[in-house]
Amino acid sequence: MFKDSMRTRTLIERNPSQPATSSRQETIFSLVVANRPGVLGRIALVFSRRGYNIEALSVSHTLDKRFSRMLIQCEGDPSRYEEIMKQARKIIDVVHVAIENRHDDSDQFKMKIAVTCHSEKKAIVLQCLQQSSFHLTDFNADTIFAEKSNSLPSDQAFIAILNHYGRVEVLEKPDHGQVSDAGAYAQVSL
Amino acid sequence: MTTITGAKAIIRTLEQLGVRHVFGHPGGAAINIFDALYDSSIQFVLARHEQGAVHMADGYARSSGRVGVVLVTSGPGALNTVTGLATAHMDSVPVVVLCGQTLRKNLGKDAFQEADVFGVTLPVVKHSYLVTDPDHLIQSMHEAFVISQSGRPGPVLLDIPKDITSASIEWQPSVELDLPGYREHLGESEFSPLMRRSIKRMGRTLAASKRPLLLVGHGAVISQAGKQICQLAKRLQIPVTTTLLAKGVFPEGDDLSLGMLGMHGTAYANYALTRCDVILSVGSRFDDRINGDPDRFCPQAKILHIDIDQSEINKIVRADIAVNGDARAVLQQLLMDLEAMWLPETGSWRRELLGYKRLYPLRVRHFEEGLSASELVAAFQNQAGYDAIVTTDVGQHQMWAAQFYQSGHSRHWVSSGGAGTMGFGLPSAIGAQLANPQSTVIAFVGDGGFQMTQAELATAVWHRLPIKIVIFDNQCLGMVRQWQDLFYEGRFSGVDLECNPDFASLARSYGMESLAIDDSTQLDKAVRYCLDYHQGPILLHARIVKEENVYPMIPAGQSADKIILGPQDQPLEQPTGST
Repeated sequence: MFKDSMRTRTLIERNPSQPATSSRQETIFSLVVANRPGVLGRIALVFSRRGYNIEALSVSHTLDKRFSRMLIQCEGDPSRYEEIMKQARKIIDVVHVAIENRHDDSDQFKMKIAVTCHSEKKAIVLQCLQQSSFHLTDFNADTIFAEKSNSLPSDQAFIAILNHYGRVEVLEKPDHGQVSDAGAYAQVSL
Repeated sequence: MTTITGAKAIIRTLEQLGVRHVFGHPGGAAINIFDALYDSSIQFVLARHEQGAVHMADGYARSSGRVGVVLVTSGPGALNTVTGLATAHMDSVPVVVLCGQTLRKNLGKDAFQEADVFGVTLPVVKHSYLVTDPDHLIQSMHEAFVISQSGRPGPVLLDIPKDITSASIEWQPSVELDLPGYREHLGESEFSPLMRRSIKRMGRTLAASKRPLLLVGHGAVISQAGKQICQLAKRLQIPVTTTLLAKGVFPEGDDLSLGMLGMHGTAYANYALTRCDVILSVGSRFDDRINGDPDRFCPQAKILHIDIDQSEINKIVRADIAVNGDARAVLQQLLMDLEAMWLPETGSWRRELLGYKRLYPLRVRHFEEGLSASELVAAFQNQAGYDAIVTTDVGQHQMWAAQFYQSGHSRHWVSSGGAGTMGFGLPSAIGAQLANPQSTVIAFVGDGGFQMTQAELATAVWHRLPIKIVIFDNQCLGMVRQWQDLFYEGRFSGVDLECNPDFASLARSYGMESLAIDDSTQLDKAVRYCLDYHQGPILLHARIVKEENVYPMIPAGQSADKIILGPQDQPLEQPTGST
């Protein structure tokens, strides 16, 4: 429910004195963090230092109680999203950062996958996921759950690569209409 | 299982990690740790102020690559470390600061010497711990050391309540690190296919270039990529320019070296920026000292960027090809890829730069009356050569030292870059000398910065460290004066230091050797005497000409083509950059 009320939307300019170039936009950052004292303070500094207002914040446990999932809704200049994500990711206790629903509100292109792999391979799997703009939604001892909101048909090839490191299950497929080749997904999901 | 006190566990862990020196200042909340230190072989270096202690650890770390360790008490003791922490943080230096703290039950109750050190230092550390469970103490210590040295290094702070150091805990000879958000910097790193492709593209871009330029930053020093930088420069015949902090990573006497670039860098290095068609940055973060105007940085060039810190990529300058990885590993791969490629023909480019080098060299100045800063630095360079470790304070003298003291080795140049912390020169020289007892250590300091931490003279005397302290005394805060002279119509405000003490007598009152000069006739003799004196620290009080300004200069906020090569007839516009 909370998530649904926090959809990305461009706001009508609230403050007319603001220069037109720095359009302010409301957005939700989603983070997975190690449950340690001070982690919220560190994250808040990343936003406040760059002139972002945090407007809503939710923290909840993941399946593994050592980690928490944070949703931070804030308003600021979208041109600095990348920087904010990288700075937040740099915090030692932050495991993963992503922007929720950045491009579209529909679930049409959403893909959810689960990768079951040996603990040794987790680092490389996480790296691969990150580079392909997947973001982590949850994980437990041997499985990583990830999703991507604007998946492309070319992600099939990526999934094929991931199969080298572990077992990949596609939990939710994107609907690419005529472009999509459902067979390819069935093949790689083993 | 052996049970020991928390304090003993701290010291034993430090010993286990190979720590030989701890810098700091004692106090009530840290007294248990000092008690445990009494039985240890670790040498404690008592600073006169906690800021000095952190700078000492900083100089120790920069000049040796080992972690600098600081031990201070709670409240004001810990708060005094903030400047030092910020300095180390800006320049990515591995420092671990251990702070005493009031009892756990008193936390948040405004107890005596209580301060929220964890909160205060959040923006200036790489990571920090408030240890609230005695069983986490040893684990946190180990993690602090790993974090401070790995990836992009930085300072880590441990805030340790007094009842943790007195508590009995089980000794753990080894611990398993629990850093789930930090795994990519631990253990073997392998290149992803994407990285491999990017490195190959970098190679092709370099091979196809006509006017390539290598921009080397502090990251190359940290990752010990000096050898790879030299190989790359030699094989492709690429000119090399370095940032202030990377001085020495590529020998500055080499024909391919353009020296330091940036606000007070050489004219030819800055000229190369405006003309190059490919620039490869290795571990530099394009900060505003070398890049006053990011929109006009290297206007003709494709920008290639290697950095271990993902957040530095595209932060200020958008890279055409970026590789997020360790400089040495990436360069090794790049060198391997280049073996199968044609090499660029850079002859005419090098000739073009050589012409510029001949036209606008850095010239040592001589005055008919009085001593110039550049001849003072040059005299030390001539006699001490490449092998001395040079530390500097911040200001005009720092820039003169950077321009005229050519550095030939990594970790032989210690200077506060990002933070620009005055007071850094003397304590960092103390740390550097302790880490390198066999080396000649020269501290170039200004009269302003020196007085901020001059109390550390006592520390240098006590430990009989043969550092050479050279005070550039121009009786003013020279860099601010220079700005007021150039851009504020000579309205000198708040820069006067005419009541400076007689620094040579001051040194003698500490029981130190000292000498003073105010013209160039005695210069060589004085420098020789300093370098030959090994019984302890020696201070050279050099009165230099007040009116001398540092040139070349790119006004803050301007691009490299707006360089000013010498004194101007017309008044200049106020710079748009902040500092």
